[in-house]
Amino acid sequence: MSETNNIYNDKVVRQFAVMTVIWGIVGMLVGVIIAAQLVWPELNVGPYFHFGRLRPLHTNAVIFAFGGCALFATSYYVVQRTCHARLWGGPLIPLTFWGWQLVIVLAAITLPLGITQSKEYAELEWPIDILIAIVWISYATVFFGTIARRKVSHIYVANWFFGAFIIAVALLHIVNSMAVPVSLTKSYSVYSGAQDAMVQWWYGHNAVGFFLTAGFLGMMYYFVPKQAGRPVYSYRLSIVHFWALIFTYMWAGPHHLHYTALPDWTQSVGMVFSLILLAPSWGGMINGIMTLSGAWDKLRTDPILKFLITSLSFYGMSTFEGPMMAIKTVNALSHYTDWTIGHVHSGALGWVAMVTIGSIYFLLPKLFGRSEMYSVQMMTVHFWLATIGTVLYIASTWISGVMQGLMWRAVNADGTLAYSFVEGVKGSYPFWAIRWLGGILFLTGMLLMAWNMFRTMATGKVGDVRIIAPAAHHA
Amino acid sequence: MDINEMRSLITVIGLLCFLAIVFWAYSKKRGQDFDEAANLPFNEPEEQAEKARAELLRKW
Repeated sequence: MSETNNIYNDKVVRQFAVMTVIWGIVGMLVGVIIAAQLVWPELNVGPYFHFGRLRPLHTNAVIFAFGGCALFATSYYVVQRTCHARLWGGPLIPLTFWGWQLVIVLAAITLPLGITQSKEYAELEWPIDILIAIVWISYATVFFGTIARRKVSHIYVANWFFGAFIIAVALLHIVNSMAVPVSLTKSYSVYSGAQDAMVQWWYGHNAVGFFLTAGFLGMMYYFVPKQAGRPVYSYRLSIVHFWALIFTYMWAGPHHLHYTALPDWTQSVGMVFSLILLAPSWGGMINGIMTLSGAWDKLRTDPILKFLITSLSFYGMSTFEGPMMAIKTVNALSHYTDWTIGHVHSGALGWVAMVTIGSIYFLLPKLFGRSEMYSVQMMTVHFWLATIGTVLYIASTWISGVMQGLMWRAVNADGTLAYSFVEGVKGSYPFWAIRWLGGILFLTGMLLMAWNMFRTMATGKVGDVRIIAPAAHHA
Repeated sequence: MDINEMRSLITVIGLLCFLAIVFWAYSKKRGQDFDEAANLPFNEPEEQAEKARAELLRKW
């Protein structure tokens, strides 16, 4: 027992890291399919595989399967390395892995069958919700249990972000999923009307803020300094960054409900807090990018840094765009159009996926006993496929989104609508085709990554890594 | 005290807490602790091995 306690638990990190790539491919493939369904409506087949059923499958797969596995893998790796301690929790550790995989498989079965709570990003029915809660509480126990047995006094900033992400997601998931079951596959939310909408978007926006932002910032604060070979630009700024996000994010949700039945003042509060969020977001971005200052030349040759630094650029871009879109007058144009989808994907592909890919490329060789990935050149090819794919995706949806918004609001002199809805659909076709192409490029990059990963695994060797006494701890 | 006054008070206390954190983080005293904390990711076995290897290569 005491002997195993001297080595890191990298098995669970390996499991989650490999599944990150697998689920990434599955989720993005479904994304490419639904993008194609918009261009060629004949591809909507049967009741199980039409757009309405596959779309939640896509969002759940990329956010919770791909993003979730990446967060588990990186947080388990980072917390052990920065605490100089083996993961704590015994059987709870494999439970988080197998439980989470079971959640994903159940989602892939129930969503095409139309079994859903109809809450965006919280579609899964109540038995699966309970399973998620069990897995998540186990995750929190393992993570904070490991923090508690750390050998250094300070808790590194990346762990603060991971910890906040774990606590907030537990809170959001449990509150938003409160429901009255009427059968095994059907339940009704305990909230109704405007309250239901507010709770849902309090959940929805904080899923973005804590799942897709805080968690991935945890990755940023560990893997960017590691790969750049120098400590984070300003540790002070990282602390202010953390607390500013914590104090402001929870209030920004109402910007998803502008011009609805939600009280006006609530909408305005949501808008103001969304605008305030620009400051910490950019503080964090600058902190990440400036970490590379003095070593910019590494960006030319190192594909991992290319992924990480580009992800921060997209993070900066989408956290500028988000507050702008939260302004009510801008939102009047952008809401319900493709602009929103473009914004989400500049965050999801540009920031979340890129920082994940960079971090996983960092981890894989270390986890499989190699000095680098099997093919470094293919990582660079992957980088360009991902970048061009993302740019095509967001540029095309921006154009179609603004076009849709302008067409929908255009009125004739007598006050009637200038365009019928279907004219907007017709005008969007070419842009949907470009967006599909962008998705194909991004997916192709992920397939390259999978090939590279399996070659790395086949040519590597799995071994135990011993925990050493922390150097700075005057040992 | 009315519930809405409580809510306003909590918001103000929240702001003061945040400002206190900012002042704490930027106080001169924290400098050395933070330098140590910022270097936490570099205290790893892999890192130590790499450093040792680099050291050896330089001597050689």
